Amino acid sequence: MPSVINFSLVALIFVFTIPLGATVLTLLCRPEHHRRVCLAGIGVVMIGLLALFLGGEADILTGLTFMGEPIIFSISNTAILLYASTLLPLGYLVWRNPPDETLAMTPYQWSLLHLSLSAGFVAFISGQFMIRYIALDVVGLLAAMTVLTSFSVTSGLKQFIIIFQILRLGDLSLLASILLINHFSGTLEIGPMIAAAAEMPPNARLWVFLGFLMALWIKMAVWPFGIWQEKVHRHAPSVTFWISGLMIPALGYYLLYRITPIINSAAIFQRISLFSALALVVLMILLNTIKQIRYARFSQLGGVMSCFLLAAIPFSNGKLLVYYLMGLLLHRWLMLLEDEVQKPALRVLTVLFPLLLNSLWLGFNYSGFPPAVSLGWMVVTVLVVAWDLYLQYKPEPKGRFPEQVGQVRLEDQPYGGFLVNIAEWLNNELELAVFTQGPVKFAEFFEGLAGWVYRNVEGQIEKLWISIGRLLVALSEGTLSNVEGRIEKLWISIGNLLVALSEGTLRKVEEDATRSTTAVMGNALNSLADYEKNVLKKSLRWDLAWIPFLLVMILVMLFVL
Amino acid sequence: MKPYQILLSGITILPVIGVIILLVWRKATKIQAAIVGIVSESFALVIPLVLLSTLRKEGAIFFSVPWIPNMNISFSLELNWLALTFLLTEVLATLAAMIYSLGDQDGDKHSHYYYALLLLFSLGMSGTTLSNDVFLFYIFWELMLIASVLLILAWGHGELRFRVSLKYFIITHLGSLMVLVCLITLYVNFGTANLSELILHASTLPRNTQIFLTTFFLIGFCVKMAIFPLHIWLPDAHTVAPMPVTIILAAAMLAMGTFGVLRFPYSLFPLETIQPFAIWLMIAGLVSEVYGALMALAEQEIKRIIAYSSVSQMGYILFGLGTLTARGMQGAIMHVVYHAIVKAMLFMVVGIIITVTKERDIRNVGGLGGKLPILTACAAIGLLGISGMPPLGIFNSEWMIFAGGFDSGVSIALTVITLIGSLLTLVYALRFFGKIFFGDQQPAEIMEQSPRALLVPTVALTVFLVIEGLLPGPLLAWAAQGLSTVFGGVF
Repeated sequence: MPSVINFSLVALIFVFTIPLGATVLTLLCRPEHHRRVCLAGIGVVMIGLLALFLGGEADILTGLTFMGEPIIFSISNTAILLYASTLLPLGYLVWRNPPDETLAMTPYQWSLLHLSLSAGFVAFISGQFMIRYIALDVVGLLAAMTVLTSFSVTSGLKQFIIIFQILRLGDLSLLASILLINHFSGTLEIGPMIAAAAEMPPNARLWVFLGFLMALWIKMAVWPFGIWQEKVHRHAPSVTFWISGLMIPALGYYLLYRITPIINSAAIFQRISLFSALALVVLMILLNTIKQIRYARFSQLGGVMSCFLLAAIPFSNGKLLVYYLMGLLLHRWLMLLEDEVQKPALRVLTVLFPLLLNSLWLGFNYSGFPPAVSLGWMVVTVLVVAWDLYLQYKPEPKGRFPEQVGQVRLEDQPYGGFLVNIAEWLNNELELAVFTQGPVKFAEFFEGLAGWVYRNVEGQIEKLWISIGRLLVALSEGTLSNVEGRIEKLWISIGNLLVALSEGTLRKVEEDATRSTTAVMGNALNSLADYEKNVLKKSLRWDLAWIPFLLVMILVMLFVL
Repeated sequence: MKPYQILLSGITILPVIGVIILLVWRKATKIQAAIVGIVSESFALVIPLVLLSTLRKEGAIFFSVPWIPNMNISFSLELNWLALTFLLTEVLATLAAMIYSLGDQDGDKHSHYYYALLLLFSLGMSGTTLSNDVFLFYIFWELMLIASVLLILAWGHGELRFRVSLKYFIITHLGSLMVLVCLITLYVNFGTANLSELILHASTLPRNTQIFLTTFFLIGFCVKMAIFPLHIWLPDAHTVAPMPVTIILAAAMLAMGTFGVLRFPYSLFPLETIQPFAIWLMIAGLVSEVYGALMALAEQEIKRIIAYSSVSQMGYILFGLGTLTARGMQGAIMHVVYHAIVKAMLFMVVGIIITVTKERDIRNVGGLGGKLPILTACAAIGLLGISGMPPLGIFNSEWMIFAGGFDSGVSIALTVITLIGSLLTLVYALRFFGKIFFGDQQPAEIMEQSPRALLVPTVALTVFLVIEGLLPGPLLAWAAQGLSTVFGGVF
């Protein structure tokens, strides 16, 4: 009967969820138990890892998808080995750390540790690049959060900002590479993606390589990109520094291991990796010697050894690279312990370890190295060891590395660093001066224009109208005085004339008429007197007297009839 | 007409009834007015959800009644997957703002008018997303503007509100006029205002006309999206507006510009017409992203900081639209939704900070982290979310947009710069967080705890943001179907 339970999947879920459970327990239990919870969690996770290891290498399909892409976990011995080898020193650190120091750790700090265990595990075993990216991003955030101690201390937050921004720059570079490969491969599964990346067009492959390189420089804490690690080293409690000091570089190493085919797909990439790594080592030693930079030994040597790994990639030889990786992790582990316990014997071991590791690597892998590179490899190794020995005579001050003299205190620096100056300049010169003041000026310009138009055009027009009005008035007055007046005078004259004429006519006619009438009347009266005199002189004619009687008779008869 | 078609009309009609009730009910208290507003607005949320199963079967739901038959204009609505995504975003943002306004002092005076205008504002946006008639679209488009201008004018802060609302009105109206020119051109050419018909025929227009219309459409909608340098209305309007209105402006109204781009030039014209614009849209998006982020970094007024972040975030969306690829545009649609949630939540946080401290200048605020832990957690999640931190939502949309940038084949460098430029978001987000929640400097007058009425919707949105980020599947599917609506299955 086939097994219905996928034991690898169960183990995987187990390893992933145990630290989450430990986080919950940490938040619930008393401070004196935090250490035990952590140790127990690590122990159980180790058992789960053992189960996974025994289950063998396999790709586990979870049946889940993220943004349409299946979520796959790729169980490989390398990943398990690397993860386990980062867990062991954590257990040791928690176990050996002075109780007062671990007691001083807050539940918040313990939680960061536990959460980073879960996220780190996913980052190691995810077979889907986007899920791995997410896990890496989360680990980066958790690492940066280790420097946050109190809301009242702004310097902690400023450290956090610097650390997180640098780590995120690395993650974004990684994201660019992932997405660019995805464009050509059409999948987010890591194996096929890496295979497809090697076949990409050279231009696109260069971008992919540069993105990965930037991500690696930052994650492996190579100088100068490893400044974030230096800051965490100074400000985080020693146990939580494990996330930055060991977990993130280990994830970087594993990433480098996975993308080896991409680096080896072009000679130019190999050369860039090799020479940039060696150049950074030499430059760092040089600048350190002339005291231009002052890193703690952990950060300095850790970054240098990461450079060796980068330089070794072009000449890697299969499984040997894994052993070299393991050696590097062991070196970091020793450095971390040495940093804590400060024992002289351990210090000698850490000084000589690079020489031993690089010699062994070269010895086992000598056929891969061209003679000139072999020579360069060992010369730089000896140089590093000599320089590290030199540092032993001029030991750094005990405890945390001090801030540099003359450096502006972080508390006084603005959030956002140099970008703030650029932003403020842009804000003043463009946003305020142009885009905010612009419309105001624009409105003012139009107001001014309107005023000018009002004053100069509208006013002139008004004046013109006034002039026209005045002219018309004057014309009217003139007309009145010159035309109308004259017409009036004419009419008056005519009137006067007519009056005169009338008066003259009247006088003349009336006088003449009176005179005539008087004369006529006089004449008539005289004539009448004369006539009366003549009439009176005549005798009455009775023979004609019957005519009126006859007429009366006729009238009466007419009336009667 | 089928019942579900009639139901569709309820999205626009029921809020109108709410408006009428509010206008008539003059003695309504603030709570009563808010209840009327929220209930009316809830219909606009419930109805699309009820219609979801029908939408799955039909692909799109139409409602149409003749309006001005002589001019071939109808009251025509269409609910498709693209409209659904934008509609729900807008309605949710409005509802969140209305609930938030219950605890906010803005709108205490003349509450019935206040909520009526909020409803009209939302109605304008709902109508914009649903209109299947260009005439109707423009009416809703302007209703959105007028309602928001009135809200700023009547309930805005400071003496400058008249000038600010005038500036907001004039500039966005100029953009609207450009859109109007295009709509009239289409109407005159084809004799119909029906958008479905116009989509069928618009590709027959001469190429020069198509280019001209696309240019005008894009500029017009970019004004609404507040893309640099057309963003100048946004910081002032966001700052002066009462907080609930700011939430709607930032979370919902900006999205209408994106909807316009997808609904008009992208739907109307063939890809060959849009293609020449692609690189310019991507460059404009990049510039807006970087510029907005830098301004947010330089600003001291806390509301303006978040306002400028909208300019930056709209840059991502325009970049995604400019890629003209399935992933880029899906990412842009998803970004609209995620941005709405994050921005609404961040403005709520800002509102609480202002309420608690009575301060708006970031230099005078500090040390709130120890005092207000829930608010601090919300702010931290919101700011990490807007910075694209996985697994919070915006990460999903951002990487889709960037993947679209690579898929477009326009320029690898351009996409890489845009991607790395997103780091600037983190810079201003952390500055904002650090200045307000860290340090020992505290304002003289500070409340002991955040007002619960304001905190509850803020926490709810924060939880929603986390869930949306962890379960992006449904949204991705909607965005894909929405894109299929726009391009008729090309993507």
